[in-house]
Amino acid sequence: MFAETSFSPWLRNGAYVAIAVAIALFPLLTGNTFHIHLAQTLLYTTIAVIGLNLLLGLSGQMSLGQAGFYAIGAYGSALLTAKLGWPIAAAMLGGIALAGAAGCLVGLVALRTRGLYLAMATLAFGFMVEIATQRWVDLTGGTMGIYGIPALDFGSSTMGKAYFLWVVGAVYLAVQITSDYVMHSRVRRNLLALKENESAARTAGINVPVWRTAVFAVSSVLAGTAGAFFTHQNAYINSDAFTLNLTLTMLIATVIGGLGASYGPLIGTLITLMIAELIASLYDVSFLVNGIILLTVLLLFPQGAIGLVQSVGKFLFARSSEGSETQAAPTDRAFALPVAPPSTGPTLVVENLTKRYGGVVAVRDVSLAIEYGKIHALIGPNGAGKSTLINCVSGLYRADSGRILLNGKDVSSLPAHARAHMGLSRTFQNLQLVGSLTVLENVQLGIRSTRSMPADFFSWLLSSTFEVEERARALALLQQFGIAHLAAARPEDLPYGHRKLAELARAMAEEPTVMLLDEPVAGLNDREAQEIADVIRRIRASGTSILLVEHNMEFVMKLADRVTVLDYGERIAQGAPAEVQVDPRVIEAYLGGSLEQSNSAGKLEAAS
Amino acid sequence: MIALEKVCAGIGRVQILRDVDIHVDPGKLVLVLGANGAGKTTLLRVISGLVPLWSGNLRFDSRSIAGQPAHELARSGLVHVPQGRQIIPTLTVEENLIIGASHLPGITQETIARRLEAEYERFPVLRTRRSLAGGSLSGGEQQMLAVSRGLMMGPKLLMLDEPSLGLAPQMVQRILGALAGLARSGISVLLVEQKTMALEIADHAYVLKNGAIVHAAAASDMGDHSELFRHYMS
Amino acid sequence: MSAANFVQLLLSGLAMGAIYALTATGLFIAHLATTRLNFGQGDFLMFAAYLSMALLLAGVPVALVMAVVIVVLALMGWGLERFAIRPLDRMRALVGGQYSWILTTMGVALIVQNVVTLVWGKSSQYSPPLFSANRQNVVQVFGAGVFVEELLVIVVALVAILLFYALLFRTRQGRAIYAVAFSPETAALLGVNVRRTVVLVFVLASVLAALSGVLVGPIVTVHPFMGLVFTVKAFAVASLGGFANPLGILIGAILFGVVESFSNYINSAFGDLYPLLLVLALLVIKPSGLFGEAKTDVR
Repeated sequence: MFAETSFSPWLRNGAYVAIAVAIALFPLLTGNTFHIHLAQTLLYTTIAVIGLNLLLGLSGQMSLGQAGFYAIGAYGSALLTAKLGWPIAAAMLGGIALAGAAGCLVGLVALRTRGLYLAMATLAFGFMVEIATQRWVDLTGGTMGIYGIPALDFGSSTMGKAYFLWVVGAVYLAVQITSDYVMHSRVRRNLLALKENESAARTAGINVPVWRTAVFAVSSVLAGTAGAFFTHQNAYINSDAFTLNLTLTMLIATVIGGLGASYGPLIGTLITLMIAELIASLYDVSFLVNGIILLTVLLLFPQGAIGLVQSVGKFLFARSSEGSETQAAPTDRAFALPVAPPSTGPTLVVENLTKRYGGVVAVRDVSLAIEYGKIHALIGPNGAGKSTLINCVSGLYRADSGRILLNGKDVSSLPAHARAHMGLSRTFQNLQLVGSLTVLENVQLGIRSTRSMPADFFSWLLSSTFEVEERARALALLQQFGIAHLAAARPEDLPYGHRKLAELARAMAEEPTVMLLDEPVAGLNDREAQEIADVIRRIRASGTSILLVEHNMEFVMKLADRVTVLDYGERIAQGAPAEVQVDPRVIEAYLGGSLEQSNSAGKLEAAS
Repeated sequence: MIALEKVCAGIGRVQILRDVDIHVDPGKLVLVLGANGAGKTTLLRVISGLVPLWSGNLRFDSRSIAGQPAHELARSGLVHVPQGRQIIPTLTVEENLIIGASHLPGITQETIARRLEAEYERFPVLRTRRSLAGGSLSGGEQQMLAVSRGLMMGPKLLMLDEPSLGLAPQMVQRILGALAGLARSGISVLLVEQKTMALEIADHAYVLKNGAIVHAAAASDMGDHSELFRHYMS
Repeated sequence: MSAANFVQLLLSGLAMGAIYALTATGLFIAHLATTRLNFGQGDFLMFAAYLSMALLLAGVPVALVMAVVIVVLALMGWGLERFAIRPLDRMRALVGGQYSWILTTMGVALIVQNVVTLVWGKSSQYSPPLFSANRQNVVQVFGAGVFVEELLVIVVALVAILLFYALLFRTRQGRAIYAVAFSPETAALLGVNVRRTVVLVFVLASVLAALSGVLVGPIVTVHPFMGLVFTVKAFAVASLGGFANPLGILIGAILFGVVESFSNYINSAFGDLYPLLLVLALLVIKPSGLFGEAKTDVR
C-alpha cells in the first residue's frame, strides 16, 4: 500500500504530464464556472491533505489542528493584502510562512509529547485558533469576516478562474511530485523507521528530533498554502470556515485515500468533496454523515479506497507485477562485505562505566576493550546489566560516569545517531526491522547516501538509475547472507531466522567498525543459529569488531575471542572462553551459592 | 496436579517450546532448571494461559485447560507468580494481597481475613509494611508479597518464575524455605529457576534447554554441579 | 474588584472547576486502564446536558432525571468501547495508524452532535435549574449574592468525586482497574477479567460525563458544539495531574476553574483562553504535569 515503485520514471512522469494537461485543458473545455471552482477547491485541499498524509502516514504523528494552520495561512494572506496592501504572491508567501512558524512551534510540542498528548495539544491549538478567528474581531472581523481581499485572477474577470486553477494546479503538481519523491526515497524509509521504533531509528543514524519537527513544519506549510489559496479564491473569509470540522474533513480525506498512498490524498479529497456536494442539500446531517464515514472507513475498510482498489486489482491480476523492481537491480557485480580499515588499537573501549536507575546500580564500574576484527562476548545471568551496558554503548542511555571510546574518540556525550554515523551499528534482541518496508528497503535504511537532498530529488525525477547503486549494494549484502531471494518480501512474512539475517544485513549496510549484537540467536533452532554464526564470522573477517550479548553458551563459546562476565552489574570475569567456562565465580553466578556450600547435599530446613 | 504432554508453543511465529513433557503430582515441589533464554518463562505462561498452546496437551486437576482464559484459570486454583514479582506499585501491600483473593467466586470477607492473617504469620515483615505502597518495598519483601499474594488465592498449584532473581542468598533461602513448607502442606509447586539452590527442596527436577527438556530426574539424582553447568554452558 | 465580586467569581470558578474535575476524571480513568480515552467526552457531556434539560422541562423529578441520564450514558460508554474501540484491536492494518481510536471516538462525537442538533436544534438554550425554583435564585455569602445553583453544583460534584474516589481506592473493582493499569497480564493472573474491566472504565467515564452534563446545564448556556471546549479543558486539567494522580486532577481542575473565572472577568473576550495557554506552555516545559510522576520512555 505504500510503494508503487514499479513505475519507470518516464511512465510516472508521463502521469504528471497527463495531469498537467488535464488541468490546463479543464477550464477551456468546460464553460461551467462552478465546476472550475470545484476543481480549484479539490486541488488546494489536496495540498493540505498531502501534508496530513505525510504527517500521519509516514511519521505516525496525529494532528487534530490542521484547520489552525490552514486558518493562519488564510488570515495571514488576507490581512497582508487587505490591510497592508501587499501584492498577492508576497502576501500568500507571508501567510504560508506564518503557518510554517506556527507548525515549528507545535512541532516543538511534538518533540516533548507523543501520540495521545500530541493529538490533544494539536486539538487545543486548533481550538484556540478557531476562537481567535471568532473573537479577535479587530483583526479577523469574526463572523463578519474580512472584505477587500483581492482575488487571484490576474485582473481578468473572464479568464480569472482559469488562471487561478492553473496556478493552484502548478503548485499542486509540484507538491504531488515532491510528495512522490518522499514516498519513494530514503525520506520515506527514515520516517517509517522512526514511526515504528524511535530507539531503533536513532541507532540506525537517524536524527529523530530534526525529522519529527521537519515533517510537522512541512505539513503545516502545506495546510497554510491551502488556506492562502482559499482566501484568494473567494476574496472573502470569515471565521465559519476554520472549525474542527475542517480538520476532520481533511482527516477523513486522508483515511479514505489510504494512509501513505501516493495519490491517496487526491482521491480521498475528490471522494470527500463529491460526498459534500451530494449531501449539500442535506446540510442538517453533514456531521452525521462524516461521523459514519469515519467509522465505516476505519472499522470496515482499514486500507482506505486505494487499498480497496489494490486488493480488487490483486484479486483480478493475481500478483503479476510483484517483485519486478528488485529483480531489475544488477546482481552480477561482485560485492564483498565492506572492509573496515585495519587499526592497531582497540576499536571500542568502555572505561569504568556506571549506570544507575534511581538508587539501583545497574552497571558498576565496568571496563572492556574490543580489538579490531574480534568478537567480544558479554554474558551473565538475568539482570546482570548486559542490556543496560549495550544501551549505554549505543547511546540510547546516558551513562552516569565512565567513558566510551569509539576508534579512539570519546563519544560518551554524543547522541545515538551521531555514534551510528561514526561507525557504530547494532541489532536488537526483539528485532527492529521496519514492518512496512520490504527486506531490501530495510537494508537500504542502513546505507548512507552521499547525495544531497536536491541531488537525490533530481536523480529520482529524471534518472532511470535512481538508487540502483544502493539497491545493488543492499541486494549484494542480502546475497552474502543467503537471503537475496527474499528481498521483496515484508519482514513479517519471513521465518524468524531469516529476519535475524535481514537485520544483520541492515546493520552491516552501515559499514560499521563496531557492531553490537543483542541476542542474535534467541529463539532460533540449531540450524538457524549455525547460519547466523557463519555470517558473524564473515563480518568479523571483514574487520568489523563485534560486541555480542547472547544467552546461548554453545554459540558464545564457539564464536567469541574474548568473554566478559557480568553479575549484579559488576564485571566478575574476563578472558578467553575456555578460561571463563571454568572460573568458579562464573559458575557461582549462574548456579548460585558457592561450590562447597551447594555440593554439600544436606536438605535445607524449612525456615518457617 | 498438572501434566504437560508434548507441549509446543511460541511467541508470534517463533517457536520457543518443543515437545515439553512435565508432570507435577499433588503436594510435590517440581523444579525446572534452565539458563536464561531456555524458555522457562514461556513454559509458565503457556500453562497459565497467557501464551497460546500450539500443540500438545495441558491437563490441570485432570481436565484439559487449553484455551481457557488466564483469569478463569487463576480463579480455579492455578496460580502463577510472574517473573519480576509484578507488585502493583500504586496499591498498598494489603491491597496487593487481597486483590487476587477478592476476585474469587463466592469468597467471603472472613476467608479473606483468615488468609490475610495466615500470610502475615508466614512473612511477618509484610504486616509491618501493610499500609505502605507496594512499590516502596525492597526486592526481597516484594518477592514475599508476590508469593503471599498468590497464596491468598488458595492455589492448588503455585507456579513461580525465578523468585530468586536479584535477591541476596539469605533472602533466597527464606523464600525457598516457605515454598518447602507449602509442598508439605499439600500445595503443589512448580518452580522455574536458573540457580540450583532450589534443588535442595525439590522432589523432582527437569533441565530445560533451547525449549526442550534435556534431562529429568529425582532432585536427589540430579547430579553434581559441573554436570548441570555443562547443560547451561554448552 | 469588590469583595462581593471576588466571592462571586471564586464560587463560579469553583463550580466550573468541579465540573472540569468530573470530566477530567472520566478521561483519566479510561486512560489509566487502557491508555485510550474518549475524544468525545465533552460531547457525551453535552448530550447529557440536553437529555437532562429535556427531561426537566417535561417535569420529570430531578432524581429520576439523574438516574435516566446516567443509565443512557452508561450504555453509550459501553457501545463506544464495544463498537468503536475494541474492533480496532483485531485489525492488522489500521488506516489511522496506532491512533485510529482517536478518529473513531471523534466520529462517534460527530454523530452525537448531529443527533442533538436534529432533536433540539442548533441554537443555545437554557436548562432549568436542578435544585431551586429559579435559575437566578441568590443567597448571601459574605455579603455577596451567589447563585444557589452554583453552590449546589459544587457540593454535588465534590460528593460525586469523593464517591468515585471511594470506588477507585476502596473497592474490588477499583483495585482491578489499578491492576489492569499496571499490567493486563498481571491482572489476569490475579483473576481479574481484563476485558470486563476495560468495558467498566469506559462506562464509568461516560457516567462521569453524565453527571457533569446534568450539573453543568443550569449554570451555562447549552449548545450542541459546547463539547469540544470541555474535552480540551478536561484534557488540560488531566494533564496537569499527569494523567496519573486523581488528587492532582482535582486540585488542577479547581485551580483551572478559578483562574479561568478571574481571567474571564479581567478580559471577557479571551479570558477563557489564558488558562489553557498557560497549561500548554507548562506541558512543554514539564510534560509529566504538575502533579504527575515522571515516567521514562524506555522501550
